[in-house]
Amino acid sequence: MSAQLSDLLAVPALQGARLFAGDAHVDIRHVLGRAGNPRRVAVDLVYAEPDTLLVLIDPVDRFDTRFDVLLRRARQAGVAAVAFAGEGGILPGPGSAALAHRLQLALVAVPDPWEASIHLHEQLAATDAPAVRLTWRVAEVGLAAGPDVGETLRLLQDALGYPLTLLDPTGRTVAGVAELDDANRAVLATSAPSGRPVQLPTVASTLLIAAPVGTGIGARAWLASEIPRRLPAEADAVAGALQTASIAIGHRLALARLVDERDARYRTGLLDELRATVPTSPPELAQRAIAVGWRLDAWHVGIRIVPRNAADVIALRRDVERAFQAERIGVQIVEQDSGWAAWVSSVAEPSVSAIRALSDDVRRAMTALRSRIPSNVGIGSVQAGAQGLVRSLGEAADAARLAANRPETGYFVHIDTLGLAQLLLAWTQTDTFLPAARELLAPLNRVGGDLRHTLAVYLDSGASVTETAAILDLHRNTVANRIAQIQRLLGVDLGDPETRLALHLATRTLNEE
Amino acid sequence: MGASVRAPLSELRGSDVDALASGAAILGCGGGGDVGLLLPALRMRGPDFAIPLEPLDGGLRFFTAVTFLGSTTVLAEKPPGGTELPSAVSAVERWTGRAAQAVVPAQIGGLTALGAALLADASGLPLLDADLVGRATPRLDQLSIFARQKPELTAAIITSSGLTVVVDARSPAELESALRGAVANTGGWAAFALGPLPLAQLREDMIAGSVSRALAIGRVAEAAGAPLADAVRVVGGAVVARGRVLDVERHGDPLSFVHGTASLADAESGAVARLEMGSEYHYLVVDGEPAASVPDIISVLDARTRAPISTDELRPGTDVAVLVLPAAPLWHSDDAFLRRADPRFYGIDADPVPWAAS
Repeated sequence: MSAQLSDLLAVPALQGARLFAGDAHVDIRHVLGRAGNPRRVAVDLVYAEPDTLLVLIDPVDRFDTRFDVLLRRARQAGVAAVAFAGEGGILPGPGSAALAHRLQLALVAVPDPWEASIHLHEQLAATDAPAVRLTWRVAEVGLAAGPDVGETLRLLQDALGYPLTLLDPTGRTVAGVAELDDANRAVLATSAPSGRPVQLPTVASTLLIAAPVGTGIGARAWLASEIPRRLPAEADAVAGALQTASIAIGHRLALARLVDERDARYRTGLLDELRATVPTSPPELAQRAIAVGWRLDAWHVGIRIVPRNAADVIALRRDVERAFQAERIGVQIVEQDSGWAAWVSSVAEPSVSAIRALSDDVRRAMTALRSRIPSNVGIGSVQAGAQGLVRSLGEAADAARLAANRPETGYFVHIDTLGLAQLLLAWTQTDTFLPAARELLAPLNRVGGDLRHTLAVYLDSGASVTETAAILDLHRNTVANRIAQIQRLLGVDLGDPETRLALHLATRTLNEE
Repeated sequence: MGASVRAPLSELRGSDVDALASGAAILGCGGGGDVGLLLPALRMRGPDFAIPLEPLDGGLRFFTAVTFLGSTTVLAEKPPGGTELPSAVSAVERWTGRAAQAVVPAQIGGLTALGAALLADASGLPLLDADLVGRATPRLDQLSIFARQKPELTAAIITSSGLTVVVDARSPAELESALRGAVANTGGWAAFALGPLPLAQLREDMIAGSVSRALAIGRVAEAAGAPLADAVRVVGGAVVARGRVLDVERHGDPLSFVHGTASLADAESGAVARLEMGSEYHYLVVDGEPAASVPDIISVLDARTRAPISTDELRPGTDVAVLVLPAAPLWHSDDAFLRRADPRFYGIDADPVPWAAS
């Protein structure tokens, strides 16, 4: 078997080694360890197999003419690279490096020649020893590691000697450094059912080895490591070790899932009990609520997130948390049968502007979340105390239901604005207003296209070009152009609040038709 | 050129001194002391002076061998006054009661050649066209007359501080260690005289024609115009390596013979050569292949000026040519000689690489 010198030097057991001179891409087939001073080695070295790496077991005390003669003899005998003890001792000078270049011989400094010769031999002889040793080491660590997934990953990575990456079933990086490209992600997705490790060549000339991680619940995750491409023995060893590691990680993931489910069930139960008992909740219930961090005697704004497709609410809870954290919204999240109930609490009654700011923040958080989990979101009004919390969550749930039919608001409905809108709509459903509204918006209809819809979304989003662009999935310049066009066509100034009100009412009325 | 076919010289003239200095410097093999220290004294004698140069097979009965011992760097800081060598010869003459009839440089390499000429001139004695090593060597017990015979070992040194020491030794090694110790403790260098010794008894173990050879080599090296490689072929040598010095590593132990190693790379051919050196250059390897060794003469010249570079002056970045000249045939004629000057004598674990001029 042969391997490139550079690949051999990348094996963890040989990572202290470094190329001192010559070509790192030289092919190595054999390893030859020789003890004694350079003269002794040179005299004895008559013939070596082609592509041999000669390891000088004893440290070289002087890189003088004897070493030069050795390099010459070694090259004549068929040696392609010479490794010497490079730690603690003296190093060859530029002259030795120049001669190595001239003889097309690679010079490698290794910390411990004896150990290096053994590791090199194992890599090239394709024995099972490195694989067994690696798997054994990983198994030991896997058994001894604690329940924490991250900690276990870190310990396994140390044992393996290569960076370890945890990927979700779709190949997205959950923990670690390796990022898969789309092609390799597709390969992972299709090879999931086999349950066998897969080897994926990367553009960076490495080999990505991924082993499936089964937890017994949900889709498989992947545990992956990158290694130099041209070392089949190392690839097999790492694949075997990854399978062992994936058992350990699968176990930790199942444990973590168990804890998450228990916590989720407890929170859900607590909220259900609260809903059932307000306003006469027993003090014991309030105490339990406080214990999990709920401040019942405060002002609350309820939020309800309902995924439009089936979703694992326990596994995806982290994504929801992250979405809120990204907007710095401090919320309590409780898993529900479908989706999540959440609320924001504050000790003082929030002002109208604070509510509006909160609504905007939540809308942004949910827009970000929607790329991962398509969902309808409703926000309730501000309510005080435990009873208020239950009421606001109820309003939020109603709003979320309404949001399901409101693509123009980004499937997002705030109950405060909902109330006003319903009120206004009730006022405008008259025989006199409807024709007026039609006439007002007629120029937009004549042009056709999305101008009327754009106007509706623009007005619904508080005359925000950015928000409109996000909802319509357009570039903000496009939206700005359309608004300008609308103003020209209608001959109005949308900066004028009264104009906006009239147009808003008109768009709403015609939408209800 | 014709230097090598010239008939044996009968005298050393004022016009010869520059060539003698130049040849002696090359035969110094990187050691032997700076000929420039004594050359001005010889030049001052003008072009017209002449020192009789006697062949070994002349009728003279007793000769004295002279040289300088000790540190050549101290010698450069405290140059000789000119009276040291005559005083040393007087001391051994007084002690033995014999008068020297001729002077021979103990080593032709380095400044001893000029010292012996100055001594001959000052004392009116003829200079023997010979020496006892044919190059430069670091130790007294390497002198050729000690290899197969046991001549009487009476020697005197006049140290740079003016001290006179006369030694009757039982062995060359004893002589070496006794004088070396005395020199180290009394000023750093000393003028040395051995003898007077019977020429008839030792003639066979001396190196004949050394002064003529130094002159011939000096003329070749000084000849402007001709490429060095062609020029040295006339005297049986060759330029074996050339190039820029890549590294010079000097080991910490000044008492060992091999003080350091230096490498050079030839930008044209790509060849990488390495020198092993102590107070002289001992061993030369080209592309990992042994190319030359002691007792043959390995000399490093500045590629541009052709000035010999001593081992302690060799610096990375210098463009040099490495010249190899055959040793005096005596060294390879008998193992008794060879083992006093082969690589192993200098602590290099390698066989000698006999020089075969192409």
